[in-house]
Amino acid sequence: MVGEKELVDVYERYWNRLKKITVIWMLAWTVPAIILELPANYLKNYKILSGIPLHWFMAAFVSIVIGIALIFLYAYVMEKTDREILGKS
Amino acid sequence: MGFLSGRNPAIYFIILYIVVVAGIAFTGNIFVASAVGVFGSLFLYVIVALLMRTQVTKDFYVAGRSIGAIPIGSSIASNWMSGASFVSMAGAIAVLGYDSMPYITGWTLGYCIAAFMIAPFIRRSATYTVPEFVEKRAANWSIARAIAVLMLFIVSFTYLVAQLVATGVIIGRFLGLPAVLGAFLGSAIVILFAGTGGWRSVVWVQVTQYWILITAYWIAFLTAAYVAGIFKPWPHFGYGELLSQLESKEISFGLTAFTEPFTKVFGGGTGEINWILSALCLMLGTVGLPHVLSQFYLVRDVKTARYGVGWGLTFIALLYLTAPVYAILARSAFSSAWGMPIDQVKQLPWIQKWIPTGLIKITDLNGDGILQPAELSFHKDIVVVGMPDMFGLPWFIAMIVAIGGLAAALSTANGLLMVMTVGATRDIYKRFINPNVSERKEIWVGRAMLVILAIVSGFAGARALLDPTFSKYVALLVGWAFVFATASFTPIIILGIFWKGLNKYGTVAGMVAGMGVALPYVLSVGLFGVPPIVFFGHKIGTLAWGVVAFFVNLITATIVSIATKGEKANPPETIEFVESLKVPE
Repeated sequence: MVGEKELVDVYERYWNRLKKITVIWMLAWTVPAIILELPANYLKNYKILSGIPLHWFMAAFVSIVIGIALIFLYAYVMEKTDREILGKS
Repeated sequence: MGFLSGRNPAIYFIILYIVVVAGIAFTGNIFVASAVGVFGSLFLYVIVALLMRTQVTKDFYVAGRSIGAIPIGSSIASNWMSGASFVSMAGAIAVLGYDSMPYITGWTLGYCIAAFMIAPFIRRSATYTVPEFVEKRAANWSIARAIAVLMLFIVSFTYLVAQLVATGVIIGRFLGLPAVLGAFLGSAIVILFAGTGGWRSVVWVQVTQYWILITAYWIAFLTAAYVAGIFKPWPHFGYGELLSQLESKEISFGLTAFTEPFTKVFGGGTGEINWILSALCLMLGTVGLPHVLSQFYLVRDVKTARYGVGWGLTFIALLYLTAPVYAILARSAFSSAWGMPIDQVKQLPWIQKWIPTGLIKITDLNGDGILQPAELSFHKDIVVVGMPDMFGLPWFIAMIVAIGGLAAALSTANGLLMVMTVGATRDIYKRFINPNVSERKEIWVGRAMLVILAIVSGFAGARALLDPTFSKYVALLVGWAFVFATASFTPIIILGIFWKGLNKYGTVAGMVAGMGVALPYVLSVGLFGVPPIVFFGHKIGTLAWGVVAFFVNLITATIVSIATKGEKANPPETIEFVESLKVPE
């Protein structure tokens, strides 16, 4: 049986970890949302896959795939955090 | 829980459906076969809705909070992707090229913000509606809930009208019925979906509709891609050569190349700053839209909410990553007609078929008898709707596209109608009129609200189809919804979850300041034609301006909260509510 004070400590630790993870993931989010698109005028000179300009492919494909990967990674890391700190199965 | 398990009437219906449509097609009457095919798909949704019917309020309002990650992902995706996403988006890209790409990144990457900062906490809040969440967070202040409900109605209603218009246009285009009739039919059908079991029915209907719409989109896309020869090895990576050919043809006709960035107007602005800010506004606005947030209530638990959003974005991406390639395919088909003698162009079967609809126009502007790019104008809907004809695909591909477009419009419509119904029942009737209503009566009140709302929006949809001025305002409001959501709800919801210090004074001040910055700009630039602000030579359009309003709201809410003693101004139950969001149950 855990005492109330210890429980509050556990919650505190959980929330601090969650805040840190949120900041990291929101910073990572700026990569597909902003950073990859910023050099469009520069990337347009590079062609990949026999003729697709890189700036187009960033917006039309790469950034969204990164976004999906970030969400699943977040869900996985949070699931691990739930298990570690809260002892959830 | 899955409705596809066991002996199921839906399965028998699908088999019967295919047999009947194929049978009619064999008799040679393709028009009747198409009509039966398109209408028959509607019955499938009704069967699913009936299977999921319920009398329990928790099922009606939040689907019993029982939906798993992959089903909620499909439901998030079909709730999100409207008739316009399905029918018009590829066409908008075909017209604007790279400058339209904020649609692609902006309408997808908002779900990252939802996953990291909103969905798990909304689920954890154990509230039933977004306005209820806002009220609880704003120290049980009923005015906050009333404002939130009003906002929910304005946004959802205009969106719903747009969906009914899309339904009418699709039914009109494929079945030759009057579009107005189609809009009413759409609202009647949606009553059937939602009236049977509330969210429990709607969510499973949306799951069904997602898989139908995405299959339809991909069937048309893959067959056209095969004919165009871009399976090298897969269409999403194989269109390089086709794009190069298209762009050199465009340059030889004196146009700017398709992927040349920052040459056209987007969201009322120009230049790279406008591009980036417009995309950000669409992302931030996504998570402030009540019908998007409502889906996060339906999941089993917090963990499911996180994975569910991931699946949601994956399923959305199946369409959004395909639309740019679709656009290039269509633009190539158009460009193949450039430089041909106009008489010869008019003999092309797909041009012949679509000229009478007015979606394609050919006018010999310089009178030389040769088609120049500017002389072939097209409506953006033609890209998806006309694709099967452009590539000479068989008739049933066109029917499948119509079924998919209808699924896309209806799935968004039933989500919106459900959000408004729950808002009217729970946030208005139960909160302000009759708090002691019995569970059974509450559901019947909900159904009555649903019917009224559907009929009113059906009339509004019909009006929009008949009256171009009314229709223009609906389109403008739909576009602005993202600006208003970004300016009002998004910053408050994020602050409310992560900062105990936000109190009701800060909440109101932030929302008023955000809207106070957004509304005048949107009206003057978007409606009255006042020239937009120019920043380093980039014109800041109405969408891009939403990001400015977002920060004004965020900063005002923070400063006012601190100035009014921040956390200490919140009663203990509000602090407790915020604390309860932090840890999964």
